Amino acid sequence: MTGPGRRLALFAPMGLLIAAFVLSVAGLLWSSATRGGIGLYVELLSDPGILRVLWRTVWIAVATTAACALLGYPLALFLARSPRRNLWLLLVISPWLVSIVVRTFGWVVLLGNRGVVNTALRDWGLIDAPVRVLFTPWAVLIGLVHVFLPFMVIAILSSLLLQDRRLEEAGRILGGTRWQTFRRVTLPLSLPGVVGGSSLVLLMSAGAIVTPLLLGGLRDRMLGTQIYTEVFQVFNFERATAMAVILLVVALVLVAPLRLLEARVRRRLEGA
Amino acid sequence: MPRSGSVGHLEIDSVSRSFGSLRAVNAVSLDIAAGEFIAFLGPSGCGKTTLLRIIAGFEAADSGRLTLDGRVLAGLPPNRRDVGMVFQNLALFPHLTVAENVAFGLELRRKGTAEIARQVEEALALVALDGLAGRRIQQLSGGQRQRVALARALVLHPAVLLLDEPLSALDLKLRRQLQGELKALQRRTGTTFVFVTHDQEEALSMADRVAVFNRGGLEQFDTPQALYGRPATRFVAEFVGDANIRSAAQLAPLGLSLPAGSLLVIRPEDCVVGTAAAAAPVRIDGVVEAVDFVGPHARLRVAPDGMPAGTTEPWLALLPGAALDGLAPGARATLGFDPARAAQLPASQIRGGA
Ligand SMILES: Nc1ncnc2c1ncn2[C@@H]1O[C@H](COP(=O)(O)OP(=O)(O)OP(=O)(O)O)[C@@H](O)[C@H]1O
Ligand SMILES: [Mg+2]
Repeated sequence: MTGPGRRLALFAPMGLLIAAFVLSVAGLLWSSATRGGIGLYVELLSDPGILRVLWRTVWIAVATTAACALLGYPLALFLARSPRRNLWLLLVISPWLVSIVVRTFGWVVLLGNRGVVNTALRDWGLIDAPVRVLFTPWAVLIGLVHVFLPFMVIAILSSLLLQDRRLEEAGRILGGTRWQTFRRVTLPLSLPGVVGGSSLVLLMSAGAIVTPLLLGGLRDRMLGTQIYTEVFQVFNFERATAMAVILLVVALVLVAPLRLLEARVRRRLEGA
Repeated sequence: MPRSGSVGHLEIDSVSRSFGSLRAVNAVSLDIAAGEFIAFLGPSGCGKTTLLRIIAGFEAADSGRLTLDGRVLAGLPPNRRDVGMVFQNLALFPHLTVAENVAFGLELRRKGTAEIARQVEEALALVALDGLAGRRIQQLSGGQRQRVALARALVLHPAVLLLDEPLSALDLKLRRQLQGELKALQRRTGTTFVFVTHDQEEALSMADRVAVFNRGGLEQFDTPQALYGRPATRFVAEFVGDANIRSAAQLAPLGLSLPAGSLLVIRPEDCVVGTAAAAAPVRIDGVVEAVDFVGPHARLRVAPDGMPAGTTEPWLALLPGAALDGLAPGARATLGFDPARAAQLPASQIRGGA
């Protein structure tokens, strides 16, 4: 196959994906507009319980992203410099081989009141009563960071590996210490990776369901879990649909500044 | 801009460096005077870059000693060696403008803003890039990038500037132009230049002295004239310019006697062909094999008589184009030379080469 035929064949799967995405979002907006109308949104957004869920979703997503970036950068830097990079990389992505439910349930075992951590702390006499972590937003945060960290590491790693090592050497021979060279050369040049990884983690953690469900319990919900509950426990599809739209808007609002930042960084790097 | 005359004296004392079983740099010693323009010349993979990276501090030597103006360099990180470098791929910072690239090292030295601006301007003027301070690197041509890399290194007034094949990516015309500019820049700043190249013409035309390397070892370190006129080894004789290299046994039938084991190096331009050969002290009869006419001169290959085909070593001659006069492939010709103008390689010094 050549020319347009080949291009069509290559783009067909992507076209299907895009069509599926556009249709599902359009369907969501349509059913929300016809079934609930504006009134439902007013009701939802003046419900203090829902506002708390909304706020919790935002801060957990932002905190997860920040934690992933802070933990992921040194890890990615280490991987980029390590001669046995592929081995370490395997370790970083190995959690992907295990179902997210299983991985998250591991934290239940670790963090519960009678879990490994609390038992150990009590046995060593460091605490008297168990520290309540499981079924709090903190457990959700820990779980989400664990699940999404590999995405951040890989995004940052790829931009570090794209960098020419001679640039760092140029920084050194021009008089920069290791730290100065990192701050003025390596870090700014890897920002596209950090921003890209952050967008990814932010979107995924804002819409997370499994981890907040298992580790946050039913009291400290996020938007994803709230929607899940409305659908499978209360069977209120109107509310679920409206909340899905709210989640969509929240995700867009959260990611927009990152996309702007990324565009700016890229323009600066590529000199368009 | 010139520094005081005594800055930039680099001593390399039997420095070696291996990668696994490969001797990339093998006991190299060089004494480079302040303000000299030195070329490192050698075929690909002979260790030029490795030695340069050892001087810069990116690689450690396994053994040997490096001093710069008496200061021992071992253990000093690259940022504290007072050495500048222009990388083969230039390694300009893509996230900075031309002026920001040049200011990079000055900012690390915590100079004042006004002082930095003044020095950046001066450095850009030095390399004739005055109007381009605000440009991004991606918006520059190859030759302009080259100059930014030079300005970025020179603005810090390093004691020694290392240049790793800085012109190899450029087309021939730009290359010639920048060779001239580089040479002029080196004279003006008085900085010691160590210039890596595998282009012998570039090395000979630019450098005060040339270090020829082969397989990690130093073959000869001398002025261009000495390198060409009195090569110390067979490798140098063959690598620097063309040469007819003949053993004592090969020359005996011509009535020339050499000490056993030594070689004679006869440059093609010292050979004459045709009627002019009648007066030459040594003459060889043969058949013209090939003629390359390149305008001002012509390169001639002459196969001598009396040897079975395949074992004959043809003679190379370089004639003025006008002297060609009817010599075409297949024609009989006499080639002559004066052994007094040829260089002799004593048996003890014949290393490297074929
Ligand atoms: N980091 C390294 N690890 C292993 N081998 C290396 C390393 N660096 C260089 N070498 C080897 O050392 C030898 C010398 O390399 P070097 O780069 O110094 O050659 P060069 O003279 O600069 O060649 P060129 O003209 O092609 O740039 C080569 O055989 C090369 O493969
Ligand atoms: Mg090299």
